[in-house]
Amino acid sequence: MKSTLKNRKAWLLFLLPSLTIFIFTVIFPIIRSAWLGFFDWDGVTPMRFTGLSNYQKLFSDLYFRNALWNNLLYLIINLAGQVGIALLLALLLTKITWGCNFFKTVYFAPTILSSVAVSQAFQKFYATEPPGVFNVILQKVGLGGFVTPWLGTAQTALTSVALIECYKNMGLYLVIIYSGLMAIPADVIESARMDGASGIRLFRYIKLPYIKDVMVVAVIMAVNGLLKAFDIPFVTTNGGPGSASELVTTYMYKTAFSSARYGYGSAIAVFIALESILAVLILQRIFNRSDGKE
Amino acid sequence: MRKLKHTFLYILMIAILLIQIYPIFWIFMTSLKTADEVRSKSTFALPSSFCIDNYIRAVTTSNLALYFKNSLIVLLVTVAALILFASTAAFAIGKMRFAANKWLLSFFLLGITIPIHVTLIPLFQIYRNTHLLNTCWALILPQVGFNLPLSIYLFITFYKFIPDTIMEAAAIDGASVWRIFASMILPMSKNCIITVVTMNTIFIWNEFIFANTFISAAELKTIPIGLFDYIGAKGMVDWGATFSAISIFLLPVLLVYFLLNKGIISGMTAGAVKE
Repeated sequence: MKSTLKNRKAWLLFLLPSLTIFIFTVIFPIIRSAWLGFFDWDGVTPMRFTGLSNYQKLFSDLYFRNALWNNLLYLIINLAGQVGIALLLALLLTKITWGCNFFKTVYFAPTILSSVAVSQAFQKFYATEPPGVFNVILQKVGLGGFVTPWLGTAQTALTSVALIECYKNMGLYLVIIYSGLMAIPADVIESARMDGASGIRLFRYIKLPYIKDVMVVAVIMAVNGLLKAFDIPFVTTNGGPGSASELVTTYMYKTAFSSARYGYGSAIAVFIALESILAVLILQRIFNRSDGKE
Repeated sequence: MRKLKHTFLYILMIAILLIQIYPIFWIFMTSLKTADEVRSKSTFALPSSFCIDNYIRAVTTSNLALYFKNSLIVLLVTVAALILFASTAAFAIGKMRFAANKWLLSFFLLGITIPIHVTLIPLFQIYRNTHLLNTCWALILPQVGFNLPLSIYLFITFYKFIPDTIMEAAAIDGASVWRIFASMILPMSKNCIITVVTMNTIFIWNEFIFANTFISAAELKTIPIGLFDYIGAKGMVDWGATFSAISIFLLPVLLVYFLLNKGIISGMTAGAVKE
């Protein structure tokens, strides 16, 4: 009977389709990308080996540096707007007794919507002609001076795009953090309350240590997702106006598929992959260290 | 005092709830407005009548039906392949007894952190050379590949709850490994299959970047890029038709979501939340 679960033929047959597709569509292209990064190639003429020059070019490329800086801002705004707000809302959600599931379900709803659809609605919200939702509200509350085409203004484009991303993804982190809060044993909170802890102290010393792992996962997921953010920036501003809202991903896409600089585009793509992996490792390290202290 | 606090809390929660659903509500409302209403009335105004003409125009002036069909083909094939491949691979890794299984799991999980952008350029070239560009396979293959890791992981986690002893008992009774998988494990995994199906359906239905890169032929476009084109052409001039098209796209997703929200939510947060 042991041999039944050691049937090598069955094992191979069960694994083979998954392994083949996974290697063909995920693993092999990564290796190929890293390889292409060493070449100069327009996709038509023969590839020219240029060694590390594509990677060196990254550091002196002002457009790339600008995109990297924008990406950092995008990340910070979204961490506050997604994970930060999600945490506050999740805490509120634990305080209500009736309709919890209903609220959770509706808050989560934007997560399942298509970026193209959500972006199109927000493009109209941000517009001035005809006045969109945001500009009408500004006018109504007497801040008419701030009315502007938010996505078309260099100073506000990046933040405005980031807000769409916040709207779409906040619910995901809300559900994750909420489930962490619900897993805190009720008697722990009860006895802390008896000891006189409440409000911020109760959160800081009782709840936060309990949901730390969940928060770490949420932050890592968010950072990982935001370094790869593409759909919403691409659909709304495509990096513009000028390069005011250019992110590394949109810059990579343009370099490869609009300018046909496949070698340089691959180098940027490899940068995105390394950056994502590095960010996760650094975050894990930071959180582990603060773990040791407490 | 306590009651007052509670009331205030509910008002706050409902206010945020309204903000969350307002964009969706606005899309449906705008889809029913006449061009005149869009131009001269406030963007907050409700439609004065149900202008179904917009929907008729959206269907007749776009290839919405075709995009729908294409999306459906990609969705069905991808999800079917994912269920078949993930459930079997997870069985081999999670339940069969081979030393390489641990290593195989880490190998697949590698795929979760990898950004799809890294694969776009190489896949584009491979597809061009193998004439897969502008075929539905160009969308199906990478989506199976990229959604496999999480799907396999979900199946493995689920299989852990199935005790090995019942498989061993079946083996003693002479059941083959195929039989054990097909008539024991698979029927028991119904809940897990639902989770994997719903989660992947959302991802695949909304998928944009592969479709935008690998498909340029109009007759093969899926809804997200077809809609993106349509918005590019009509978004400025014909709001009614644009948002009718968007509504047609969103409606099935929202319906499925409100019916199966438990499975979808648990699927999409499965990587982070321990059951």
